[in-house]
Amino acid sequence: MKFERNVLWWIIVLVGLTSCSTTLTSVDGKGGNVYALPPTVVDQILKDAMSTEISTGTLRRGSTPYPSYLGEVTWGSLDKDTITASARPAKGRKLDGTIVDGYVFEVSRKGTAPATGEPTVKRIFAKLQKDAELTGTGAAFVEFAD
Amino acid sequence: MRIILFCFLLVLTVSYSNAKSESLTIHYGYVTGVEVTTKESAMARNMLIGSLVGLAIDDSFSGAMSGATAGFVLTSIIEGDKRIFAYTLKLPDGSFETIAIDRPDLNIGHCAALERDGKHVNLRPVSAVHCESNSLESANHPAGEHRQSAAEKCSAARSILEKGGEGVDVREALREMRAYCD
Repeated sequence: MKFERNVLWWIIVLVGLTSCSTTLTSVDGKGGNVYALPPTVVDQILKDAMSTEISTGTLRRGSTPYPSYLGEVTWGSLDKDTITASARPAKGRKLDGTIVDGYVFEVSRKGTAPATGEPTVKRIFAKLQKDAELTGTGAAFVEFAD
Repeated sequence: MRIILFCFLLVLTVSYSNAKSESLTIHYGYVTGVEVTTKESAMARNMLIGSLVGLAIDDSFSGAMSGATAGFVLTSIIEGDKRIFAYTLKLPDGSFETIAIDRPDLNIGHCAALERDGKHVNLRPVSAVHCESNSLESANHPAGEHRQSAAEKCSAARSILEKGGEGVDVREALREMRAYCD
């Protein structure tokens, strides 16, 4: 009986610590938007969105060749999610048919704290999306350029 | 000689920026209809295209387009579409204007400001007091100057962000955009 209880306990612990991930993006199978903005502007939009949700102590620039930031959020004392917001280079088509270079925004989480991470990525993505759309530089997604 | 040339260029720049701000117009109207549509459909029906949708169009396509132009553009669109909202506004002179825009937060009965500045077309909810005046001149409306100023700042911030470049205060431009374009 004690052995079974121990096994059940370890199963609960392992399930709790199992890593899972989510990614939100401004493009999907049906298309989406590429924002024709300069890298400095995209970088600042990412930084602003992340800094309102991630503590400054963990927020840092990503190692990708394109603009990205990452940081951690925690749930309890053990569980942690790494949140990454990035702007992937992509090509978009304006309504007049011309192809423009721009960026696709993506926010992802990975880790063992989905209870904190899931709502955080949604809020960050909503902020990015709102800023990007306010710039009015959207073009229809064609393909990724990275 | 260089100083004269510099002054000449400066005058040209100032004249240009003044001309740009003067082209901005604001009209107020009550929303009388809302329709969920697509950008392709909106263009085919010759609607005024705004914000996200409108700025994807080149300068030469600013404002409403002819049916022939829309037809040409439609053939060049291969990608999937995105939902946009077509708002019909009743203007104070009794005419109607339909604008297709990506913002979903307006409803029938809301008073909205339709801002036009070259390729920038924006629609935003405003106080009903703007729609109750019979005057067509935005400056004659209560707080009309404030609205005009906000629309100009929105347009300027968007232009800065679109171009970027060295020496541009991106944070300031983003702040202005959030404050004046939403």
